[in-house]
Amino acid sequence: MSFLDRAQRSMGRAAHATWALGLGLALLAAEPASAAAFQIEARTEAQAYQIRAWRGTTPDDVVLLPRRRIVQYLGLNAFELVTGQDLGFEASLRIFADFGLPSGEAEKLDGLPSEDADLMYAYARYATGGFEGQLGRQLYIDSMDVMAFDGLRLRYMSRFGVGVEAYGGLWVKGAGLLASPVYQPDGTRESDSRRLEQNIAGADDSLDSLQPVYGAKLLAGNLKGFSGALGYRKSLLGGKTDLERAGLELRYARGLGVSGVAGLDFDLLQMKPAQARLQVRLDRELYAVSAEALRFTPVFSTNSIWYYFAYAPRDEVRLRADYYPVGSLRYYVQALGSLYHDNINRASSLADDVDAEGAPPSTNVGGSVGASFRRGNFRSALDVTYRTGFGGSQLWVDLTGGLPINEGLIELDGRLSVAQVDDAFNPQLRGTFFGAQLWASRALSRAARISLVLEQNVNPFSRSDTKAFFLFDLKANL
Amino acid sequence: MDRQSQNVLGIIALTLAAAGVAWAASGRERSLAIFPAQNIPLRFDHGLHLESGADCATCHESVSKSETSKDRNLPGHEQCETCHDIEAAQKGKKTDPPASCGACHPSFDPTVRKEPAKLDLPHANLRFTHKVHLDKKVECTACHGDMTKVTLATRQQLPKMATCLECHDDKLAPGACKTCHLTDGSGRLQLNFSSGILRPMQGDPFGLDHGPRFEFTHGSRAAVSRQVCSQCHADSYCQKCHDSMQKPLSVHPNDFITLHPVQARTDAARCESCHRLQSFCAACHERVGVGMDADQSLRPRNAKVHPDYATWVQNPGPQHHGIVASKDIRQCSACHREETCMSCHSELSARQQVNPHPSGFSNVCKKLAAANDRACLKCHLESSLAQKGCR
Repeated sequence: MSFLDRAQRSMGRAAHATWALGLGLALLAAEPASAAAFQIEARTEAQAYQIRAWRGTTPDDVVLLPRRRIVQYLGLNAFELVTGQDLGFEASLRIFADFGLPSGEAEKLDGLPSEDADLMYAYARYATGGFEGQLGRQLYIDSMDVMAFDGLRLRYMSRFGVGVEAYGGLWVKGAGLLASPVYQPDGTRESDSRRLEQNIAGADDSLDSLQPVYGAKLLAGNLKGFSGALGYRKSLLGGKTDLERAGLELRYARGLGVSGVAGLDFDLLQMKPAQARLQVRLDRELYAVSAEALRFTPVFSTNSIWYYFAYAPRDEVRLRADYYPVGSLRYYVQALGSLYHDNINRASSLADDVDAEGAPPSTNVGGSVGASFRRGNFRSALDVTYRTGFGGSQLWVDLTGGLPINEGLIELDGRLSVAQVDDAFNPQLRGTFFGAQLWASRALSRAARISLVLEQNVNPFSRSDTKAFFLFDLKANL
Repeated sequence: MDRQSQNVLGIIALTLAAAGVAWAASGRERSLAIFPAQNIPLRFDHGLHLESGADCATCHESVSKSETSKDRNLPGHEQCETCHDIEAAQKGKKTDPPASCGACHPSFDPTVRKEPAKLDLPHANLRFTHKVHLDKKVECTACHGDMTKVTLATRQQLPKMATCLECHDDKLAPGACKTCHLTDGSGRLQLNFSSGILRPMQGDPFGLDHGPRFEFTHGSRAAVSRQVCSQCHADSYCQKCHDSMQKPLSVHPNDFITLHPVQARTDAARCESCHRLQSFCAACHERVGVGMDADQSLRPRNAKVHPDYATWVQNPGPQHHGIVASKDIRQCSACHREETCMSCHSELSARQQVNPHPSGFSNVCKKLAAANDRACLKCHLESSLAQKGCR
């Protein structure tokens, strides 16, 4: 398919989506004597820089790949479509093109289109009393995952602090209509259509199939200080289970300023905790302290062979203290330690080598210290982070500053960063990397702002490179 | 870390600590977005007035009928004149209590200026009614604190949200955010005001402090309190970073395209909060020649991101890829496709057939295959699954 064809197809999709959104809005807005509020959001981001590729025959024979990408977001929102009723509509469409990626090259890659149009979300929402319903393409975030689906979500919270939520629909995947792969299950390609066309063995035609997902939750809201949810989710692909999970979320917010947050996610296919996190935070006038324990496990689709591999989770502990003697200045210090478990088959000859000399360490420790400052319109922050262990050692120093001028008509922001990294695994990335960024933006009106960002980097890998970003933001009430 | 880096870190830490001591002060700010900055060029002593027998309503008479935060509810000259004989003072007479202009308007000389400096007292950006609170018998001190030791009342005498929540707990009084906070057309809280951006600050009673590095720490809370986040933020706000397309300039430091492998090696879970490994990372890695399953013309020729082939793949040892994969398989799936692993781990491979499954896998394989055997059949024949007891 030629670049022109793809571009026309994408633009055609975008036009259809925009037309459909517009029609929907027009119909919804047709209610007479309505107090409806309409809002449009637009964001344009253009990037221009080059990426150093590994395709050269020697390290000095550099191949630079151009990135000339433009991304356009269009948002249409409507609220209170019926006077006095919480009935609305929200939609966001993303159109992008990478003019630095020739279509011939894109065709050789799975999941890297040179242009496309994605409907990120588009749903109608109605709420009354403790009831809330959303119909359409929507995001869903909880302790189990971040996903998007086309379907219906209903939620009811009674005045007694208990409630229920149910949702169901089709998981939004890259192969779908006007769909992005950004929230699809991981571990498999977004589509095998290219490989199927080439008759490559092992190509899976089910990746493009519709994927139903459904779930439910029991909710608790402020019951003696506790809020939480107990949920279940299942997703099917081609009639077979792709993901099956149960989640428990809990929050406590009473007592001596202690607020605790806990989330737990069970993988029912293997009956083991997939993700877990526990956080306790104490907030006081002059300081805050928090402790957090987390378990991270990759969330793979069961259609992926990696789901059945001998991999193990990572546990992490984070301790943080914040101190704010005055409103304009505050400090924080954070320490963290990670433990990388392993799950080597004991029958394997590798089992004895896990802790042998020369093996990668199982821990990574480090921390951050920093301060932020606000006085008048000026704001600044400094962060120093150091980590060492699994993955090598890395020191990051990041200094930012910003100043709005003339009540925000013009805003200037700067960022200086230094990174000193050393990872024996990747000897090409070793040394000190310097970067500077300057961001200037100007308000064109109360609703529109234009920004230009220049970035200059100096380092031993790419030696010197320059990046430019252009942004245009619009958010207007009609 | 070498000696020089340690010294640099030490100096930075010491500087921060010293600056902290230098800046230490007792004052605490209210949100400028809620209570904009004031300029009150007055001399006044609340404690003295209360000690003299005045109560709050003596001077703030209009409060009992006030139904909006836009009402100032401050006494005018007519209220002051109840005790302060301004007229006499203007004629040069000595009064008790003092009533000259300068008694309340410092540095004001009526022979030089026509009017004293004006108050700059913007109203609070809140939905608030004194009348309802007073009708419910809420004492003034419940919100404004003990005024007996206060001279001039400022923003410091305005309540912080923790004070409001003592009653607004959804039982005594409504606890919804929009009970007090202003909302925009969407019904979400209005965040941008000419005086500042509404942002949870230190001491936030919900533990929502959006302090430094909140970009990196909000995930735990957002995962379990999405309803709270959505009181202020639309999906489009979250997607500004989480749509895996735009480079969020406030999150990724400079030169992140070059440096991201270093962070990804230690914390791939953070990458995954925005990027899917197979549909985002692997595709780009194939384009730049890092991924080995790319089209022949895109394959790497000088990439050296692993130890040599014998150490990494062929010979069991401490640097074998199996150990790294077991500790963090995300690193593998960010660049490789399933075919890479299948070339040696599939039963159908002509090269090797190394078992990648963990210990005890055979005990659960039947259950897993019953739920979904699609992945099984990528590497095994049906007959083989049955032979292994997985059917």
